[in-house]
Amino acid sequence: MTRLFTGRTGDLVAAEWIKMRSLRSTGWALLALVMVSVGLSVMATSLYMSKWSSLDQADRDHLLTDPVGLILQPTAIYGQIAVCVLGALMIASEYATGTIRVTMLAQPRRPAVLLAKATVLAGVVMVVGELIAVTSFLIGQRVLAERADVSLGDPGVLRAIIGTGLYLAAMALFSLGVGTAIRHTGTAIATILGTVLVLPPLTSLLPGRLGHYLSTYLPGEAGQQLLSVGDGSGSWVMPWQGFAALMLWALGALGVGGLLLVRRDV
Amino acid sequence: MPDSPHTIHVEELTKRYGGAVAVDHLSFAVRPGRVTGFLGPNGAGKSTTMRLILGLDRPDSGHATVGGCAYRDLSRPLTEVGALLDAGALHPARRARDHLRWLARSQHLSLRRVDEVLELVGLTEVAHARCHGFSLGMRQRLGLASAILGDPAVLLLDEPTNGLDPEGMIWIRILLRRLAAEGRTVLVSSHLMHEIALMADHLVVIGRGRLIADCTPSELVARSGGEAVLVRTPDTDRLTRLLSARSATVDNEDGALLVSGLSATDIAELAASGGVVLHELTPRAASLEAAFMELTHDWVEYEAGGDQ
Repeated sequence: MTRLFTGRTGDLVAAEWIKMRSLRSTGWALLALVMVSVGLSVMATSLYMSKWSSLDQADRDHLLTDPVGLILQPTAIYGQIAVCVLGALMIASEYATGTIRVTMLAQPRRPAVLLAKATVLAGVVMVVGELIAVTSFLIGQRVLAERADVSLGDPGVLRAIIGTGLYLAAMALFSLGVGTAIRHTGTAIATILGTVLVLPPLTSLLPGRLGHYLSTYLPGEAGQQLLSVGDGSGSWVMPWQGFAALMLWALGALGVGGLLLVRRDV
Repeated sequence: MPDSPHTIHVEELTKRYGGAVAVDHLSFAVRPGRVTGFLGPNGAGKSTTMRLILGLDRPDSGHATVGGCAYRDLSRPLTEVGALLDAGALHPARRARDHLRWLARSQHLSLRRVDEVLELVGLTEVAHARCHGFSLGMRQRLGLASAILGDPAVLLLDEPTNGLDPEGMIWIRILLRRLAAEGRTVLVSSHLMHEIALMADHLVVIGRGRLIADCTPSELVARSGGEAVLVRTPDTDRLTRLLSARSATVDNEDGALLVSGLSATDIAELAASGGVVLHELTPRAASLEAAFMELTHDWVEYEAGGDQ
């Protein structure tokens, strides 16, 4: 991966790659991501199959119209927690340990540091995310085979599989941005998970269309549109529009984080 | 003195944190080829000044340059300036060698250099150990390894002897003197004069963020009234009169006289000509530390008075 970059940028990306690899916590976070994602996907699809006779028509329709969504949703909803932690830790742990000063001495152009971190993080999460998506899909396809026929060629399926990696990578970037802005590990992770997991159900308490509107554009809800084969008809946004909204969140967080990084003393 | 490309220049540097002034219109230069001791009591602004030179903190006014360049404009900074600020600035879960490996990679340096500096600071044995088990002394050594990793011509070290055992202190003193002898610019901070006294060729003393002295160690001693001499005699009254007549300062200390303003030779001749018997005549050796204490003590007192 690091060969893609040359000169100073390449050196910085390579350095961040070494930093990431040399911490055991990276391996644990990625292992947790894979286990939770694939494990819950298998569990969810198996449950649907074993309870099929007792499911009502709405649940059966849900499976039949969007089998890929059922296979990949666990990755999005639960796997993303590991990704968010990884993204926030990538910079907040440097503040916690004081390593950030060494990093800034090695590269005083601070946006370049953030860019190098973002490149490594997005790259790693993207690759692992795709690995998870393909594995979950191949297993889920077999589990569901009895009731639902789903293949890679079906409309929206390839998009959902590619989308899983994209979704996780965008979430990681959002977390990196928030971590950069907040600097404190615990507060950063709480803020990110609050935005991703706690806010969506709360918006349903808001009256009328306002709650629906807000929840549609929260980073998690918006980005997950990419993971179903639907045309977004149940939602206000189309899959790629939803992903664009998530990318805006990610770039916004990185922008704010980067600005603060440049302006603040280390 | 002609300006060398490796001089550190600090000009009218000012930094406030909230309402408190940490560095106050500070100006000095650190020149190559010698060890410059950066002294001041705790809280004098030494670390802040170093962070400002290194671009970690932004000054409120004034500026600092290394070889005519702001630190932020250096493209491979560690190959030009090496710094040890805080020995704790390590990820405890990372192996010592990996810490140097990413630093080396970020500056386009070879892995061979990593092993070289590990050897140089005596950490080869623990190169593959994670840093959380390291003593403060080992962390200092690893911090020093990262400072010299890029073979820089300029070194800034903030209290590098912290946590080192006596053997380590001698080692670092020899290392820094050698680096200066090679023509490098070496700035070493400390709040302990006796540590710096053994290695510094030049001193920059600050108190409350302001410059107190920028001179050689012997000039510092001279500034505080020169060396004192301890004199013991059975005839203190007579000798005191003789000394005072020569406008020397005489203090009583534990039954003896502490004389400043005259050399031991002058005092001996004066006593002989006056027929006074001397039992002891000892030049005070630790006068550099005394001079430092006196200088910074006065400064702090003056400042405290100024705040009222």
